[in-house]
Amino acid sequence: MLKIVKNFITPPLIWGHSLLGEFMKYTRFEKARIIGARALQISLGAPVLLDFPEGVIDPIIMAMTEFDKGVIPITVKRDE
Amino acid sequence: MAKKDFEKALQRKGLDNPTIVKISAKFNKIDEVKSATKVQLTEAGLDEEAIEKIYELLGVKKVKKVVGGKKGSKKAEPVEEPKMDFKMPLDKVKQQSDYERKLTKMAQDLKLKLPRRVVSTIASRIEGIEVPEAKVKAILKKAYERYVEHSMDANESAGIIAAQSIGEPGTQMTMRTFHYAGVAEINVTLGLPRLIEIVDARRVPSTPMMNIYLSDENDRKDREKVKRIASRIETTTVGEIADIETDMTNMRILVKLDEHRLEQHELTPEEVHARISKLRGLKTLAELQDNVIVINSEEPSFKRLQNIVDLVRDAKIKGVDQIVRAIIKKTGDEYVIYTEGSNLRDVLNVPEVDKRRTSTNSIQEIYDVLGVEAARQSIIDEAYKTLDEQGLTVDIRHIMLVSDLMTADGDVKAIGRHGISGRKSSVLARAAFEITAAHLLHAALTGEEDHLDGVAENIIVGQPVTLGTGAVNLVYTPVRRGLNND
Repeated sequence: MLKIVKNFITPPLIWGHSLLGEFMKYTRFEKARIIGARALQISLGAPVLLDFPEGVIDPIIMAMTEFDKGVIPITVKRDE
Repeated sequence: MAKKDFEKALQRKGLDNPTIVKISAKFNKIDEVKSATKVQLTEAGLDEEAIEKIYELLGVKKVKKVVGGKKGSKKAEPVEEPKMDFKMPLDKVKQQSDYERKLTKMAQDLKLKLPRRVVSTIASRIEGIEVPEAKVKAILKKAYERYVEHSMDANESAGIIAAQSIGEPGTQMTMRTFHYAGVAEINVTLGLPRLIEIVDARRVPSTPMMNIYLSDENDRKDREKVKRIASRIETTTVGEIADIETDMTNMRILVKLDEHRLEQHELTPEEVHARISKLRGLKTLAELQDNVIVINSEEPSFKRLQNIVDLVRDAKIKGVDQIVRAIIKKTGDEYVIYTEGSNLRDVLNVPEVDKRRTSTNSIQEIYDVLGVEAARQSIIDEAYKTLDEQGLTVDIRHIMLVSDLMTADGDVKAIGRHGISGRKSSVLARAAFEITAAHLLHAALTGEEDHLDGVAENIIVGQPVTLGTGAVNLVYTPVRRGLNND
């Protein structure tokens, strides 16, 4: 089981739930955009937020795992 | 001529003759009289009292010298009462059945936001069958799940998907233009040409057609009655009910009325005679002798005689304008009138006609008579029908999108140069579509702005388009240190 290393991170918009507690989903575009942005950070050497086992080196897979855990400190701004 | 009309108009307003003569000597239009000042009217030789009367009868408000006084000075003319009431009576709107209401309540309790249509479909399927409440709830839940699944994500490129979804099956459509649509003898434009016609928002379709339903339960099952109504709607000319002969020796024309055909069309010789007498230039020349109408030519000219023959042959005796032919056909247990040619407004005025079901394939006519919403629905129906007849299934939502786009501005616009594509607000988008240089030049001269909201603009500029992933704005959300993380 993966452990959250940087425990000060609680994204207000964890996958599936908004702050108001209502059920809310990211659209697939938003999901792709968030994972993409995070993957780019990781690939450029940003510290990862989860304790990945040895051998996991693909930044996209790492970003997706982080996304599923809800630890990425990125949300979207809707309705501009 | 115009002077006479003007005088007549004044007469109708209730002015007396000497006043009218004086007014018409100076003015040419009622509006001119209305806007005329007192001085101008006195110049026309009218006295104080007559002027007052004119003002009163023409409905001119006396210009009061009130400071800041636009108030009430220009009151709009009373709007003319609409001649017909095409509003749907409220009591005829389909009410929800008890079972539907129960299901709606249940869905609300479960906090499921289902549209009424879905609920009523479910209700119609399971009503009367013993279904335990838990099962019904499960069905509603499942329906909601599927419904949400089918909804489109935000930022999805709906327009392009719609375009592809209609365009691809469109390539498979046959070019066969004419087809005898179910009803014998009436041919209707179908297939690709028809689809193009709809999308181009043509004023008149190449084959205008109407389906006329009757409102009376008993009438519509009675073949004879329907036939009679159909013959009343169909335009009948003199040529159809009579043989027209030219009597060269006596320089006259004989209109020999066919008794049988007269009867079919419920006409009497007198009616036909009255109609012919009304024709221009034939006021006193027609005489009725038994079943023959004799028209004497006032001048001995063969050309004139020939003109009269043409005039008489094409004279309309009865029927609705533009309705060339009316055919009846049994559909289900009632008879429906199918017509070639279309005139929705006048057909709806025929008392026996069911105003709710009668329809035409002319979208512009529906727009004129019933309004945009009806036109929008009609575009959807017609386009769907056209595709469906070719055996192509296109999801109705794609067509709805097109229809929505065409009618969004309150009138029916074509897709293409003269419609939507040509009137985009963005210069770059218009330039990308057609006549690039002209659009750019015009924009440069007038100093147009482009807000880069659309797809084409952003591609030109070299930015991510505002669709899909490109439309998402990311926000970094740092969380304060020390906040608990559970």
